[in-house]
Amino acid sequence: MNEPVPLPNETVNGLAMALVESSKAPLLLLDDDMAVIGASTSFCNTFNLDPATIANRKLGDVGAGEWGVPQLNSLLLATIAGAAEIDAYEMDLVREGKATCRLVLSAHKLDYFDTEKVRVVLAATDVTSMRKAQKQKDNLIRDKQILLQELQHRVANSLQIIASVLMQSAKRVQSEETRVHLHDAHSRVMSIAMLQKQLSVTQLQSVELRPYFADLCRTISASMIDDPQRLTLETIVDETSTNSDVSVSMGLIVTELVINAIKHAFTDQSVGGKITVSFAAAEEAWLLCVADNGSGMPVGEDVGKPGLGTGIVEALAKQLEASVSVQDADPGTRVEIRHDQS
Amino acid sequence: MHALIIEDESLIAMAIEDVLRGCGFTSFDFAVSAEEAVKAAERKCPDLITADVELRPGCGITAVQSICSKQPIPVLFITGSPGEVMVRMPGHPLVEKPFSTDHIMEAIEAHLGHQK
Repeated sequence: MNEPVPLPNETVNGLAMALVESSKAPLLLLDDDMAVIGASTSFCNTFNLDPATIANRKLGDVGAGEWGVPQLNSLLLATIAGAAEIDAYEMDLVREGKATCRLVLSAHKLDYFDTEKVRVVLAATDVTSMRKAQKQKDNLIRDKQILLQELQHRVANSLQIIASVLMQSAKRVQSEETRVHLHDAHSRVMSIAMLQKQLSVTQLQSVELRPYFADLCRTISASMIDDPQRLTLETIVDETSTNSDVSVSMGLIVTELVINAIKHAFTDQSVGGKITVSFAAAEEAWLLCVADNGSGMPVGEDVGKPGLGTGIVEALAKQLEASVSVQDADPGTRVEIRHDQS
Repeated sequence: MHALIIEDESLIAMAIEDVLRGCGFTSFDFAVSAEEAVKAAERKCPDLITADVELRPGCGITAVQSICSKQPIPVLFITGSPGEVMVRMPGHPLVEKPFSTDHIMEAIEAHLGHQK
């Protein structure tokens, strides 16, 4: 290894001056008395200073004295003494007749062989517009968040209104068939409303299926099961979270299948009925299953004209690229919605 | 029994009224703003208040705090903004919107001891 050969002092000074003056960044070269030895053109341009007027002047006297900030002064003195380095010190540059600039300053003592002559490089970056843009961005994000919250609130309220009206209509109608339809419609709306609630908890990113299905089944059983002795609703769901589109489809499928089981599987059963909603996923594949221990559904060719519920389930399963199969579980019926690894 | 329903959506207020009737309440006052709520409570002291949080204009929590500073009245919050209630009135009975009628009945039975 070759030892670096010390350069003569004039060369070192000259080199330092040339480097500072040619720099594209706003730089000042100061001596141990804080007098300006050199300034980059960009420093003079950025802060509207004439290069001829600043040479050999004290930093505090440069321009109209706007650089004579006591805190900067003491930081520079500490730097000159070798006690500190200024790294990203922020200050406001206040000039008469001009907008105040926010500056980020850093200063370092130059390390060279002549320890007698201290040289300090002061770099000043004007971050006014950057900070302004950042602040605007922050404000914008905050506004958007408020809007989003407002929207969430409105959606939840609107769904609530629809559900409430359906429920009140169900209470007032005379026809039993109409009442059943209105109850179904109420459950469907609540299924979407519950999803909205889960989404607002997770800030729209994803929906945890376990609490969602549990909430959903609780609501359905509250509005459709009058006697818990006769019929219970259970959910067995793994840790899966899905995005909102997938969740809304799954929630509606669960709603339809559970409504269907409540209505048809237990017509002549008075005790011990059970409906189980289960969901399990392994990588991309998943299985959603609604099973009951009721009287069983017609399977295969005996299936009658499909109702609205069946149509909804098939359409949503198709959307999820999943298959629907109805099995005789003896006792009861088991409906599987299965999505295979793609 | 008399209930004060603080809710700015009249259809939701109707639904709440329906449930409370089922719980044995017989007379109702409705308020869509914090100011109306305070006035209604002064006019006739309710046995129960149900309150939404975001009102037009005003805040249900503020209204409830103002009413209950004079005399303690059972309050059930029914709201889509549960976070604010949990922060400002922690431990208070709360039903999140969207609710079904049974959520409210359960909450009233559990927290306030009223029977269906």
